[in-house]
Amino acid sequence: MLPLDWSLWPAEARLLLTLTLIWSLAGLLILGSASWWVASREMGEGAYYLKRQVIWMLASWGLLSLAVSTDLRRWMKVAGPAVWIGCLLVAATLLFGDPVNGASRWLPIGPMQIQPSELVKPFVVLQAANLFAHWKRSGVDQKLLWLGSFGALILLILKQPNLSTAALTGLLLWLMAFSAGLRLRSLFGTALVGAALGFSSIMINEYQRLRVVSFLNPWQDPQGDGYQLVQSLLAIGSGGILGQGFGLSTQKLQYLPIQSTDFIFAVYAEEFGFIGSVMLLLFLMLVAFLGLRVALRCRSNQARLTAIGCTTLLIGQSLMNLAVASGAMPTTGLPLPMVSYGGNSLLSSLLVAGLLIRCSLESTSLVGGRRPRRQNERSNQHLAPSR
Amino acid sequence: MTDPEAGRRSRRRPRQRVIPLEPVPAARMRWVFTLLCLGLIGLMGRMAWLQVMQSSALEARARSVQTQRTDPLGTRRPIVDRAGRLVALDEERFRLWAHPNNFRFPGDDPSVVRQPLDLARRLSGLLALPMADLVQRMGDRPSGIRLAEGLDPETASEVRRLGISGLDLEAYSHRVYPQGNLFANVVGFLNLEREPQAGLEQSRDRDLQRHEQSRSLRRGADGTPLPDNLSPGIFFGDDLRLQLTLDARLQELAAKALAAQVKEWSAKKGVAIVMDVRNGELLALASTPTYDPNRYWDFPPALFREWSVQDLYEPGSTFKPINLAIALQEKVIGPNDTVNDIGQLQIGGWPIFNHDKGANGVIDFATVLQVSSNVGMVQAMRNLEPLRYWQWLSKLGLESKPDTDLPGAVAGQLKTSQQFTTQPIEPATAAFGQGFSLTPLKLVQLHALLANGGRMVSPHITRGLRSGDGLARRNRTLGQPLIRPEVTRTVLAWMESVVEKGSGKGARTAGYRIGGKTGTAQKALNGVYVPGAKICSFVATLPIEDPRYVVLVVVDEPQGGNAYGSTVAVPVAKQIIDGLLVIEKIPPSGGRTAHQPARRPAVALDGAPASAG
Repeated sequence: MLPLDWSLWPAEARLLLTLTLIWSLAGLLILGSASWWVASREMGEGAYYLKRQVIWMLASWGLLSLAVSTDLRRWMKVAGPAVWIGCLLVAATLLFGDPVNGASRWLPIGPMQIQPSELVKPFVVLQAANLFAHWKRSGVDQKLLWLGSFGALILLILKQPNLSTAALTGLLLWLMAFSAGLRLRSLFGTALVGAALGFSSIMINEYQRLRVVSFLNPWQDPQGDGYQLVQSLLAIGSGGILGQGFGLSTQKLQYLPIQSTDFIFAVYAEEFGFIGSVMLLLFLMLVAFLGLRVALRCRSNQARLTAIGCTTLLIGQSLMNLAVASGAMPTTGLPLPMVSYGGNSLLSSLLVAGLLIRCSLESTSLVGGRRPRRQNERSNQHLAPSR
Repeated sequence: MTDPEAGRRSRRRPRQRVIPLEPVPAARMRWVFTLLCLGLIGLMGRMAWLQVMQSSALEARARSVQTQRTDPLGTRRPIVDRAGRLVALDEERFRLWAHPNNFRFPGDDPSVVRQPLDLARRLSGLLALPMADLVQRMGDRPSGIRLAEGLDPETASEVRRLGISGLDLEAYSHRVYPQGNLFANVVGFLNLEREPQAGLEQSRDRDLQRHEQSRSLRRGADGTPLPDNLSPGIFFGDDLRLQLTLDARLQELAAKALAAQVKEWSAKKGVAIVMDVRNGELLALASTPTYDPNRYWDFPPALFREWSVQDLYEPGSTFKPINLAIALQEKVIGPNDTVNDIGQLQIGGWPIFNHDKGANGVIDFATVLQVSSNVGMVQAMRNLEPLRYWQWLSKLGLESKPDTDLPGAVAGQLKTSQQFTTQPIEPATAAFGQGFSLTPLKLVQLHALLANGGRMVSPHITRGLRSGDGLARRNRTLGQPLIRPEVTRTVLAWMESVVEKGSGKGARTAGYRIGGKTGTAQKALNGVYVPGAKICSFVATLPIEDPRYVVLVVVDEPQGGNAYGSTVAVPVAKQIIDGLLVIEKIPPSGGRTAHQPARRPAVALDGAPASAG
């Protein structure tokens, strides 16, 4: 079952698996508390969202185990086409999507709703790792092809409009490029272009502009544009140092909107207080640290970049979600990985976690990876284990 | 993989140079990690700010939104009659405030402010007020204008449905008296500031105030109350109603009959009282003239007091049965004794006549009552030692404030025992009901005592507070026994003969045994009897075989030479008795209509001559 005997697993991989499990279970508990009241009011069943989340969680853990047991190179091979398929699906949402809250992010497939912009993220990481791993040796056409593909993807996501996912994808790509050791000048040039793009998007889309303005001073219009953020701040503030106790949030009782997805952290913060918030942030920091360790241990550039990309995606998305909920960033709709309600987000997040663990496993050279054909690639591994 | 491809392509480049594959630099990855950590640490700072520094302010703000505070509206309990008919209740009314600086119709741009005229156009139909009026009321003031008052809930909800911003509806309670003037004399009213001004509203103010407390309740956004920090009894709401003993139908009947008679005789005022003798409950206390408590400002404040409870009068002949009962109780006369009515007596230098100045000869006490012989009464009461007589009058409570819930009840006036015992004229006039004064209410109480077998019951008009639609049970208090039952039976038999063939004939009702006594008393002003000023009254007890009700009708200063108790008061009492028999479903008294057949042919009205028996 396990791709590698448990005793041979590196400490990072073991820890990451454990932490992912804890994260998932804690996520279920938090979601249960945040969604029960609303589910019983709106769906007639308190466990409505929780049950569905559990099913998605099981499926996502299946995907995680697939990621852990599959050779990273095979993922790399499908990454490119997957990004293109992702582009097509995102484009499809623009044509056939169900508009929810003014944005068409969802594509109905039978009884399910899929969110291509969410599902494409792990493959963006993989393909970016592919591209940046030997950036300097790639031809201009390759660079242009993939940079163009990424750009098209981001633009399509932006068109949904889904500023947050677009920004996250852009930031992710930029940080991966940064990690890959690209020249700082071109990196910061790109950052400027990206910032300009984001700025113009904000200027063009009124709903985004209003959100940005309301984020600066939500109390100006607490019943209007600032409503979500004000309610979130009230929830977080009500938590105090020790919190109200698990299940005892008042703001989740339909004061706080979208409390089981984008603002689920506010419910958590109200129930667990400052101590809970700090523990969550320290937890994220630990995951980030483990991710860094995995990345440093990895033998191939692709694996390294995949590891740092996965870490950046998981932690960066959590960070952005928390920043939105606490009013440190404009209000955008990003789910909190493993916690927010939604199957697409779960699948994507656990696949990313699985890839990270796989990277760690492959760093042992006991599984996966082809025997290096090139000497220079071998020699560049500064931590070559003896075989 | 891309490696070989990249290699192939690079060969096609002009510069055929193999670019070495550089490893991903560890420093850059550490930088990324550092960046993420900085973000997380920044968030910790943000959380510390929100959850430690700002926590109390944010929590207070959250609680103020989540907590709903309700303040007491100052509502009052309803008052209902003995059958649960509403006599007084609170209705929700609305005051409409206008803020012209904020006038906007639904769908208007937030920057638009409508003119008062636009608003008046929409509102004038709803409020039934001319547009010009509304515009004028708004004037140039920017906000806080009281546009309308007393809107009913339907109108208020229609105004609300207009969705006009800048209009504000304020709810308040308004006391309504659906029976109009029918119970005004006893129930009283609230003024516009909701302060009780008269009647029960004033005397039982505390009982009528609804138990309300301001309460804070945390709720979910959908209004669900949360079981959190609740003090005991927070959901307690009372639906108590004050129940009267009065019957609206009988009250209405009595009021109509009385008002018609008072008008016909151009009298000053009148009162009709019906009492249940078994427990002192009043079934009717109708007074005329009265006022409409819904429009109290249209009436002189003198009407706001119930005179039958607060004004004294000399009862005259209606008191004679009480005196006879005292004498019988003291055994100074016997049931079959007779007196010689010689038509005129000289007592302490004062002449005493019968009202017609005629003599009735030797008559029994039934006849004394039938012809209302003053001389006969004086002779009967002479047998009683004056001090003993005074003590009895005192014992019957003439001087003390009656034990009643009627607001403002006053005590009667009696001469001092010294005056009473040293001046022979005092017991003599008291024998035919003059020289002391009492309220009509007190007289009813004393006649109830005769009717119920000698017990002193407390006259009252409230049964108590009951929840919801529940009705209070009849009060079963037994009063203090003062007179022996056989004495009262004797007096009642005499009173029955008054209706059978005496001055009370007008109250005769086929199938029922009714006792009664008329009274035509002179009015005294500052100790001098006012010529022509009379108080005509009639008191009836029914049914004689098992007395349950006393009916008293008093009419003050009817005009005309023929104004007597029998002509003015009896017809009103007769109408009330007819109504009472129906409303209280009293069965007829069997075959006999007269308990004590008369030895002599029936005599006519008060004072018609009767020959000695």
